[in-house]
Amino acid sequence: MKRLKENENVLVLGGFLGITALISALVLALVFTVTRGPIEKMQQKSIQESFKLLDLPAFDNAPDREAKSYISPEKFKVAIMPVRKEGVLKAFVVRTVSPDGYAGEVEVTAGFDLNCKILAVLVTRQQETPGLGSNVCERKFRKTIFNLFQPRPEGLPPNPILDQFHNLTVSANADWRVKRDGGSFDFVTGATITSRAIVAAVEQGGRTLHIHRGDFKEKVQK
Amino acid sequence: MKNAFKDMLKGIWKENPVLVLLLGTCPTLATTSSAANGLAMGLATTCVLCGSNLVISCIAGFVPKKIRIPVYIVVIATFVSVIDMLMKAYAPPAIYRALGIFIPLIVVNCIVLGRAEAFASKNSPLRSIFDGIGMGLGFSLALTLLGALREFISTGSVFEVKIITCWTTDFLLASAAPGAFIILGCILAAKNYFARRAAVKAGKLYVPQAGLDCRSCRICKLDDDE
Repeated sequence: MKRLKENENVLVLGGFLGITALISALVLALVFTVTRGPIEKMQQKSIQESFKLLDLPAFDNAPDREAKSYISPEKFKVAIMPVRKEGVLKAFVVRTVSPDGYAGEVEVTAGFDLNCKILAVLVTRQQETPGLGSNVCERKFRKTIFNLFQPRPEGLPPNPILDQFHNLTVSANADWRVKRDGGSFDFVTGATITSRAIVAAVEQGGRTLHIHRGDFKEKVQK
Repeated sequence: MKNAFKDMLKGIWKENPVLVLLLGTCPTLATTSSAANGLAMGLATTCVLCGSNLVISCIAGFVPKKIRIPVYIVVIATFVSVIDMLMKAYAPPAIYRALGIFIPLIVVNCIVLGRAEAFASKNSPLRSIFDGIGMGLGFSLALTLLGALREFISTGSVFEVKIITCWTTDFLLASAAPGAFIILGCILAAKNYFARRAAVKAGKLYVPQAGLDCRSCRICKLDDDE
């Protein structure tokens, strides 16, 4: 052992480093196999929780199982999920990934009714600057010392940036840009890039749904 | 055992990694935009620090000197990845969402490597674990303090509970990186002021503790292995 410690042979040193890396790779592989199932389950659960917040009409299918992927006119990745009750189409959930966030991708999930009117908008994945860009993305009830011990209110927490899309349709006359670029949407000063990414994602999701909604047929069981 | 307890306490105050050793300033400034983020980052670092200190103090006896730093980095990176995966699998989604992007930062946290080199490689596994716990708790405390101050100055709330309810416009300087530098500087100045005043009152000259300045840290002198 002592001789190993004093060794200066490049091959021995390289070999030792290689063995260390091998052991750590084995440990990582083991932990990866053990946690893969729970991680998937966790992601499934958070998807279902986001559906609950989207103001959808009552449904009984698993929308994410019937998802279809598309590429939007501006080349965003879009997944459209039909929401059904007893096989009858009730609404759509559209998940759009905008590549132009401040720190990588921003994933926006929006609920649309059958006329492509927006029901609610959520940001489901983002890595924006905490406290700045993330404030544009998060929906949270603000706690104060006065309502600290009261139960949380039910339903969709407010967010002034995300709420401005409600009840709009993409084909309506709104100009789908933030106000700084001459459009009609509010943005957060200091988080303009994040705001732009969200507006673009909602617009692209809506347009893609408008083009492809005919792909989803009623599935009435007889 | 008494010794081990002392190892733990010194990390919390006397050798506090953020306020005295000034190690790991990057995560300190980057993650403390709110008190909750600071606390969570501190606790995650504590877990990594305990694990890496334990493993490194076990293997330090036979790691060749020339490659000890890369070996330590591999051990630390493994621990960070394991904790990242475990949190993804078992922690509540809200916590992972808030912390997820900070976890990989722990690999390059200077405290972890610094403790491995300065303490764990020279002491027994048990003492190393206690050192890891103490340093981690000290780090968590300092981060929570800085986070709480920044959150309060920028939004008037602490731990996302609004203390001053009429505060509606965020003061962005405090939640951005320059504000972090300014507030950390103020905390350090206050701490030094009180330490010096206490020393003057006791009639002593105020000098940094022996073993805590550059002279006793070997970490950047990689070529002059004795």
